[in-house]
Amino acid sequence: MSQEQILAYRRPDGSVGVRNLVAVIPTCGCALHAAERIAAQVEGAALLHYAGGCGETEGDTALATQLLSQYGRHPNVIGSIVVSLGCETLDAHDLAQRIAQGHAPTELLVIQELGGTVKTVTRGLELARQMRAQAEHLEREPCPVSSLAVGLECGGSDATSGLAANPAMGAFSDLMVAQGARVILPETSELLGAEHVMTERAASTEIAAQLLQTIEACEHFLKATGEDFMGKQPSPGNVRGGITTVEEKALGDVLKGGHTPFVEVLAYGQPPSRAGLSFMDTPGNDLASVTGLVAAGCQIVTFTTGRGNPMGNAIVPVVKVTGNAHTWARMGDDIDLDASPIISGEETVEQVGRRIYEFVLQVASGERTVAEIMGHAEFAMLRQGPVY
Amino acid sequence: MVNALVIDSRDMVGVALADLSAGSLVTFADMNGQRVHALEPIPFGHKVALVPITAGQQIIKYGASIGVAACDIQPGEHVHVHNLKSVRGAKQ
Repeated sequence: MSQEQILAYRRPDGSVGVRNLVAVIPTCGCALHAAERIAAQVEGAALLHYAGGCGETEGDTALATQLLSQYGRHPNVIGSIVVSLGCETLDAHDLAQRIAQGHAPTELLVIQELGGTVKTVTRGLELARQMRAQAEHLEREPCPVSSLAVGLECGGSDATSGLAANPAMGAFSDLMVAQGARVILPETSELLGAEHVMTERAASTEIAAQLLQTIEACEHFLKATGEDFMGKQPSPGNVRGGITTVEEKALGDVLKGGHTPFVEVLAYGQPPSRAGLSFMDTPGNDLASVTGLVAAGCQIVTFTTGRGNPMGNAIVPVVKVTGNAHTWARMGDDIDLDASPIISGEETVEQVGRRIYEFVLQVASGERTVAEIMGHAEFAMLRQGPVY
Repeated sequence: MVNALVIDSRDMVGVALADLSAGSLVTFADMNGQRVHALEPIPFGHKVALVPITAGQQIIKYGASIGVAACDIQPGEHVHVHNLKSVRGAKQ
């Protein structure tokens, strides 16, 4: 197969970005308002809506520091403004230093040192404006599709997800893998019951064992809560849409991964080390899952939805696909592509997979998704421990 | 007129491709002479039993188990949370 190209931005560290955004990163909830004000007033400035950073476990603070730094070094980001209060647990200087090791400049604003919200926001606006003005000189150039990493998310699933949108996304995944791209299947809790499908496709016995261990650990963690999965996996909306059990949801969900071998099992937010299809251990919560995919370097996330989901992401385009003709007719403003012709027999899974592929290449080259046009910029951090 | 889909030849349930009213013939590709009438309304996207299923039996869709029958289920019955229970997700 010939190597296909996108038009994207080559960064000094060799990575390839599809957008030029300034990340505005609060290091605690007390700095969130000032960060919000900075991001709101500069086009192309993206707020990472993080409200932790204080009174949480060391594990959660360490994970947040890691993920926020990965966002700051992300290829879609051309500069970062870290906004700190000055007394929080999360080490803002450490975070800013970690981001500075990447390809883009970073600036640290400390509210208590600058003397309050007004001075911080004023300085932040100057910096965000300068960073964005410099980005105007950057030009897109041909880059291979293999420079892309793409996450395969789903949310608001219904019975059509397993019949149309997820199989089509699987065909899209196969096309991306054939081009040498990195593709990541997330959402561990939504795969209980589909282990056999995944282990059959593991590239090695070690990867098969890692897949099983990861899903078992998730099941153990969830059961330790003493709560029933019903109402969470599947969600009430999934159930109304015809999905009865987590096993049924999993067997429809796993189709997003297509037919290529699983070459790697990744921790939450861990960048893949090789081309091909990887599995990432993320929660089924869509915002937290997408945050993990983006932290790992995905420049684009594709997202199937049966019942309709409007979400995007702070720094990457999210391409949404539905297999439900009613949802497409009712909620098409929030969805990019219609996979329902698979169910009506007007298109094959492969044809819709090819449409998703071609649209993703256009989005990588600058075309905006409906979520971007609508200003969707979601961000949520995974948190597992208590808050003190 | 096709109004249901059977994903895998091993499946014990079909998926309604339209809202099926009680009494309607469940029509899908490769019926092989099988005639199942919906015994009750089956909403779009929901499952209808195609074969007799006994309580405790694993129910197959996508060619794999999606849980166990909580009671006996007749062909044509709606299969959902009232008669299909998760093995993996149930409270222990």
